[in-house]
Amino acid sequence: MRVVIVRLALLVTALCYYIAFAFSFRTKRARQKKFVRLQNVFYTVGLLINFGMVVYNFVINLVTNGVGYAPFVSMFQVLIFLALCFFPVYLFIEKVCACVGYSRYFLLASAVVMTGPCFMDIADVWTFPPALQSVFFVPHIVCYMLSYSLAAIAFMITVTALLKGENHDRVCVLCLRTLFPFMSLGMFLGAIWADQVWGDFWAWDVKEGWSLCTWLTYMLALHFYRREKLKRYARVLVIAGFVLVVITFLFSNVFKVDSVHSY
Amino acid sequence: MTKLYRICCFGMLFIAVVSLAVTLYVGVTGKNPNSSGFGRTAVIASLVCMGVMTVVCVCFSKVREKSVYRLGFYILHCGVIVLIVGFVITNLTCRKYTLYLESNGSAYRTFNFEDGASFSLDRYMGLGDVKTEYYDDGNPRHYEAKLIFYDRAPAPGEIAEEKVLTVNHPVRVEGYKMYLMNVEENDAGAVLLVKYNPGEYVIIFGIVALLLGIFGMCFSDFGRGKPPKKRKGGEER
Repeated sequence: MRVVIVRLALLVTALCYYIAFAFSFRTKRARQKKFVRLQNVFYTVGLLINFGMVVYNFVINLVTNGVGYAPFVSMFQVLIFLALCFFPVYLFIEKVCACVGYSRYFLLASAVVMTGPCFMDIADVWTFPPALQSVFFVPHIVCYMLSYSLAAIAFMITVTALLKGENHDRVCVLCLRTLFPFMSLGMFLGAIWADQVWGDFWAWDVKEGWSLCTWLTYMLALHFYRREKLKRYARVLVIAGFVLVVITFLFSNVFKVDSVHSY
Repeated sequence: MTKLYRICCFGMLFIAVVSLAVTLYVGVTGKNPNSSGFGRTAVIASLVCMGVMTVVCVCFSKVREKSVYRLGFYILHCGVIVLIVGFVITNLTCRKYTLYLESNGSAYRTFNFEDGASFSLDRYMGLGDVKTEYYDDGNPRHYEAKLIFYDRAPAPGEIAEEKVLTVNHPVRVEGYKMYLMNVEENDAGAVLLVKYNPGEYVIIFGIVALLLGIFGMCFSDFGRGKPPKKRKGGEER
């Protein structure tokens, strides 16, 4: 029964995000207000259920393991959290950076990410080996999730801009300038954690290698965006960076390679 | 100036490609590049190249943005240089020993290894109680070992200093950092990693500076390029 309710909640959340995304396309001026209201209603419902799922995962971890682990003990839980990460990022980009009109990218990204857990094994839980029981665990993952969500947005905006021949460099740079600090923080917290647990800041683990490539790519993209003549390369780097993000995030878990990051 | 910036950017792109190649190499062979002399030299050479390009970038870049951004720029790039120096020091001077200790009351001051390496402490070190906890599925949940230190060769019943060693919480002893790597199934002994790394604090200092600089640079001056606010009448300020 519990599994059915969880599965249903996941489907409703993903569906809400997809419907909100559909309403984000406003063609006729007369219907614009109505569409915006509907988009906001569906997005809010999706967000509330998504937040509820994160809280549910936290409670489940507490009940199952007896310890209040953060809701990141399986790819299922991580993806649910990642879908929620798009909301603070959206608020930041729209309210703080005053980049209006990009909500559809966040909605689509949330919907796609939320589709994953709908088809995943709910009961699958990683047992926490002693190495994972560290104060660095939660900030390391939260930083990476925030940066990955921004990487997805930057990728979608860049691809759309290239396809439509529009210029969205400002918002793309803002995404990069927000994702890069979080990605750096996540990576270096991981390095300090690795020194605490294995005695090496850097061990050339497969996932570490991919994350270094990703970090270097975004660093280069930021440098290339500073010069007008190099901007076209920067756009290519943003796309390449997201491909590397996907590899970093999923490679060692999907292919079960010999890595300290695949549990 | 712009040409130099371009050269540095493409130089960094080359290093990114090299790191991608190393990652693919590690993925295919499963070998750590630091395990061979060639790989180690290549890593140090890449770090030095990166450091040189960073120095060039700092010396020749004209930063026109606001003061926080400018400050962040210098802190970040100095952090990168310090970090690279720290990694090079670590690569050249770090010493590691894997040690097996039995919890039978014996303690030692000098530890000799099969490859001829050895290290000594001022005090005698032995292993006390070892504890392990397991999950229901048999996977380990918690390891713990006590390190016991004596000022002279241990006698029965002698009171000595104890330090608890767990995974994620290494212990620092006379400049050496000791890590709990594994324990024996019947709690009769433990495997320790002993590390002497003069570059550790340099790396941490570099990381802190780098992060401060990145946050200073990336989170300052966000309003740049914002559309101007409009007055009631629709006229732009």
